[in-house]
Amino acid sequence: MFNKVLSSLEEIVMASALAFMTLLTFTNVVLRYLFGTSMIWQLQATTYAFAWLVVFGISYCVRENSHMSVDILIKKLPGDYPRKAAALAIGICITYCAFMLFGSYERVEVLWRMGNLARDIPVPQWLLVSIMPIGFLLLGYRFLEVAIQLIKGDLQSLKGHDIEKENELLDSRLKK
Amino acid sequence: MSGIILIIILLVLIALRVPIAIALGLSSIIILLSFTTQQINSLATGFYHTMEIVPLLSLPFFVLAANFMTTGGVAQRLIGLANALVGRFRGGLAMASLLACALFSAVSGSAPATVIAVGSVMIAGMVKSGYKKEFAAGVVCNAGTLGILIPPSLVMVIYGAVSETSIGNLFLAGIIPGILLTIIMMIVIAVIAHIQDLPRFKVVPLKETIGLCFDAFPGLFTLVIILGGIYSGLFSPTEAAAVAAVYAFLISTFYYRDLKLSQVKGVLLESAKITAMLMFIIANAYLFKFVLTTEQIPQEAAAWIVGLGLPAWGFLIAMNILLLMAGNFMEPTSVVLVITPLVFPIAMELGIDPVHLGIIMVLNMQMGLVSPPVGLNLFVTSSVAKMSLENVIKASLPWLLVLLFALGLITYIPSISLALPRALGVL
Repeated sequence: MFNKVLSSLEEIVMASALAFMTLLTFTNVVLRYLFGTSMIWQLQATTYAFAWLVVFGISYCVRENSHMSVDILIKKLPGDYPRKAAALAIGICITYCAFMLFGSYERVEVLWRMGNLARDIPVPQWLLVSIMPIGFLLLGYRFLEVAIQLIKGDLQSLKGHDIEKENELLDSRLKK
Repeated sequence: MSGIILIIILLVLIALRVPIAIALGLSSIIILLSFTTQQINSLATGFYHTMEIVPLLSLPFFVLAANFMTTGGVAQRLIGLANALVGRFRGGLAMASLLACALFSAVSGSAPATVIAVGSVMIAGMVKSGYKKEFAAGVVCNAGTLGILIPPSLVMVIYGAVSETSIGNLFLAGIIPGILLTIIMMIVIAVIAHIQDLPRFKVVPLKETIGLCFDAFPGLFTLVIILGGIYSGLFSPTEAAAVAAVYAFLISTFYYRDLKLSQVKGVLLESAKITAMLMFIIANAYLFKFVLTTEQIPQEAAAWIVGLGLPAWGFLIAMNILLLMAGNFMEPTSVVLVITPLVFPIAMELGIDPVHLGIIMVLNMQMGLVSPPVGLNLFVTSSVAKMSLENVIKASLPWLLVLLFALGLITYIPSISLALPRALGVL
């Protein structure tokens, strides 16, 4: 249940952030040439939407097996070693998340203490940057899910960037 | 010393099948914490700042525009036009596939997308008219690499952002090499067609060709918007990409009527996913670059190479070999992100033009796309052509020589890339 809500939340944030930043940038060009004005906050709002898109997208990509990795060495290992190597790799990923979670939390805290507002938008800076620790928490959660599957033995090795699946998707879209 | 450890950790992590993004990030974190006085939160700051680099904002827009075009019927119309233009010659369908790849590259920015869009229609078409499947697959697989040479190009956007080179100039510089490579491949096809006595396609009447031209025109106009907009100073590359995405949506939905509004969410999500995947690698590559710079690693390597008295052309050979090897194992954007911060300062020291260096890197990446074991175009071709990976590799290997020949030309004759931006006075 929690996973379902989380997944659809990720999808909604990603799709609407992309639509928002595209339309905002486009509108600004139209305003500049047709009406001779522009929204000074446009660029900053776009970069914040971009950050939201990316941060939610990173954990979404773990679920969709979209992160690029090199599998030629691991594939050739005999017996149960691929599973062990995968568990090690996931452990490394979780360590990375822990470092980045800690670092970005510190960053938010510093900004919170300074209490500055963002340059062009009347919102405190720490609130906008707090997407970072949230994102790394999510990413860590997604990796933990994979780790549990590996330990239980439901999963024999990491799934890679799934090109076959992506092609089928594009293929079906082309035929429509 | 720390530089060698950094590279070793990176390679071990990649070999363990840790995602490339995390391998870059974690190796940087380890070096930063053990060799410098930097705090971990400076890394978090660096990571976040990547999202505020304006040229990189164009990335999601280009991806979105290309996705609207594949879904929205622009691709099919470009294929129809290419057939009408060159189908009448011996080996015409193969030439048409090549031309369709070049045209589609000019409106999208990605090589695998080009293979999917053209290959899924043309490979079957060629086989039906009596071509060998291997030949058909080889042509599309290699012609698809034009996607990252002919502007717009995602790889160029990323190289430009990392090396702080003008993306507009890189796009301009890619045009002549792109056309040159298309012509070279066209000649090769003509020779093979003559030897193998490949069939011709029926002549399309002029009136019909003009009709197809008009039909494909709104799609091709995207190129005018992107390049015209950037060079006339109407908008920045980022704005051009956003305008192209909105334009691609509008023509697919209201002019061609091939894109249903219910499909839009799927296209947005797919584009957002690709963007996030790329940006995760890019943000971590910036951390990697940050550590390299703090530790003065490229400067030391540059001093060492300059001290060897290696001439610019010798350095370029070494760089080509390095890039080809890296391109065999990683996909283009990752290679550009990892290698650029290393070789860029050295190349500048040797007086190589940053735009020329970018084009050389793109050509190397094209070869990486079609060489085993990790060649994205090979995977994509094998699935659209329904052929085994081994057979696709065999079919595509001879074409690697053609790409190698073009790489030689473009590496050692800088004016092929630089003539156009110089003529327009922007370089």
